[in-house]
Amino acid sequence: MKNRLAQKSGMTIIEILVAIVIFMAGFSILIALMSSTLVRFSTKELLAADNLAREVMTVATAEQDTTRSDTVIVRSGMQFRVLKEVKIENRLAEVTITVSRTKQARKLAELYNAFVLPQQ
Amino acid sequence: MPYSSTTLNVTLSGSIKPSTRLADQTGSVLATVLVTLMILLAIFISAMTYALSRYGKHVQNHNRLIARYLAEAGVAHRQATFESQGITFDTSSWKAPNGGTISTITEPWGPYLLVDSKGLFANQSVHEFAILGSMAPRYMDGAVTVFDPGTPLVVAGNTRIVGDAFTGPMGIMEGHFRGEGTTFEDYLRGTNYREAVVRQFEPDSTIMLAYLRSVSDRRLQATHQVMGSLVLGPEDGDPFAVEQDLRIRNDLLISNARMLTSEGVKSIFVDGQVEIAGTSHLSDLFEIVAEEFIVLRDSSVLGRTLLMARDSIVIEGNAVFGGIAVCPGRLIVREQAQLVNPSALFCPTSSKKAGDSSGIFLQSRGWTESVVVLERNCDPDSRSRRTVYVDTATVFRGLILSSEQADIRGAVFGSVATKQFHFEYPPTTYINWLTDCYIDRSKLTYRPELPVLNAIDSISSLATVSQVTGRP
Repeated sequence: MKNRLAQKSGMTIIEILVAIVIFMAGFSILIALMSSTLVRFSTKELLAADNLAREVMTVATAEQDTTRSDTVIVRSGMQFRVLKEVKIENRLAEVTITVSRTKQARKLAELYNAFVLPQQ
Repeated sequence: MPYSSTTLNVTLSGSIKPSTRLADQTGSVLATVLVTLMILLAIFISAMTYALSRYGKHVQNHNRLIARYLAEAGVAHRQATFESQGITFDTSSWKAPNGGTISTITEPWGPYLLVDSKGLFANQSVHEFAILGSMAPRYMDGAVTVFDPGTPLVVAGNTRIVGDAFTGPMGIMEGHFRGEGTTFEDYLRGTNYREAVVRQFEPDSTIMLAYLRSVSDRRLQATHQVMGSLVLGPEDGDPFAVEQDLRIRNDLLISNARMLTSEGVKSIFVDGQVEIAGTSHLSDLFEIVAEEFIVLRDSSVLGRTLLMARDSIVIEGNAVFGGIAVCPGRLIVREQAQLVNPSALFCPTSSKKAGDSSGIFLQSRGWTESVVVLERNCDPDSRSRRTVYVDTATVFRGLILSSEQADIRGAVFGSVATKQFHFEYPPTTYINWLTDCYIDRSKLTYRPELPVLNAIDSISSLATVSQVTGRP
């Protein structure tokens, strides 16, 4: 085999190039799959966190709910910690909803809104 | 080995086959390999770009969501500040706890307030425009309120009141009234609160004065001017986008045209008259100020528009109006025209004598749902008559607040608060009479917003409009 290849000019470069192509193809597919999986995972996580935060904020403002809460909610197979904090001053209720993954401390969504409480 | 040699040849010729043009040429395989390499790289880059752009889009939506709530919070902050510290027309900006920025600008919007609240987060900004007014006072929870406690209220004819009444002494015309009609036994379902003095509440005139000053300043500052009349039709663009404030030296005619603002609120100052006809549609925050009169007719639809005219505003035909109309002269709704919630008709006091019959005239057979407010006459000695009139065939739903007189002939599903009722059947005139009308408070299930009142109980929002101005 060695003798045969040595007899043919340019065979070594062809083999190297073929190897590069095969390696590049495999590497490209692997990287593309990995990045798209990572991005899809982040997107899914971000979307779920946004929806969760919006849901809690809508309920809080519509029902003028001023109670503090700290709950764990499962969405799309992921576990989130939803923290609702309320500060009241001069009938103005300021609501902050923070959503983070239970495994990590990183905040995924932090919404801030305010509403005026009705007169007693 | 011949077998392995054959296999190698087949593999090479099958997977990397030189083109016929390059066959047997030195370096042809290298070129083929490079082309394949480029194709693979292109596929890889495309896949990466697509995945990242999708992610970027979601991040943008995420930032926009945060900005939208910040803009909403800005409105609530201003509302709370007005209630605790009084109303100020100013600009303010502050940092929110989540790192975003909130900026607000407050301006008078006729007798109401317009708050432009901007929420800014990352590169996304969202504007929330809110029209603020006063929550209707407690008296408006009743069906009838009469501010003049000295003149007895006479309920006569086929009048029917469902709800409470805050009045002075109340009388009933027994038997026949002018030979027609009889008194219903159940003319009043509710309680009559005979309070010694029923406090008369009125709009805060400083808001309207500030608005009038702002109009005259902005009219002079309008950089874009039309020296003659402006006629807008579908051929001028569908929809026609108004880029900046406009001053028209003569008349404005909008016929079968749709108009939008490019961003924010746009004002159109007209030195003559305004006619909006055909199937014209204005849904954004427009302000149209006319020196003469404004007519809305045919099937035109006006959403959040503020109309102001010195002489009169007429809404007729099948026109639909859902904005705020301000006119110190005559404000007329007739034929099949409709007023939709939230809308407000406001007849402010004027230093100019507006004639002997200024006021708000509801004469439509279409659905009318609105807030109607008539301010008192600035000259108490003036003979000019100012009234809110509800015609016999009209069904009105909402609140009527008149600092002068109210002449109710039709049906009011809501509340009427007035200095006096008035019934005129030429040549006779009856003061503080309710005759052959129907007022039912139970048919109004929400509390509409009045213009900002002198004694502010609470500020609430009449309407809100959101605009996204974030960069992609």
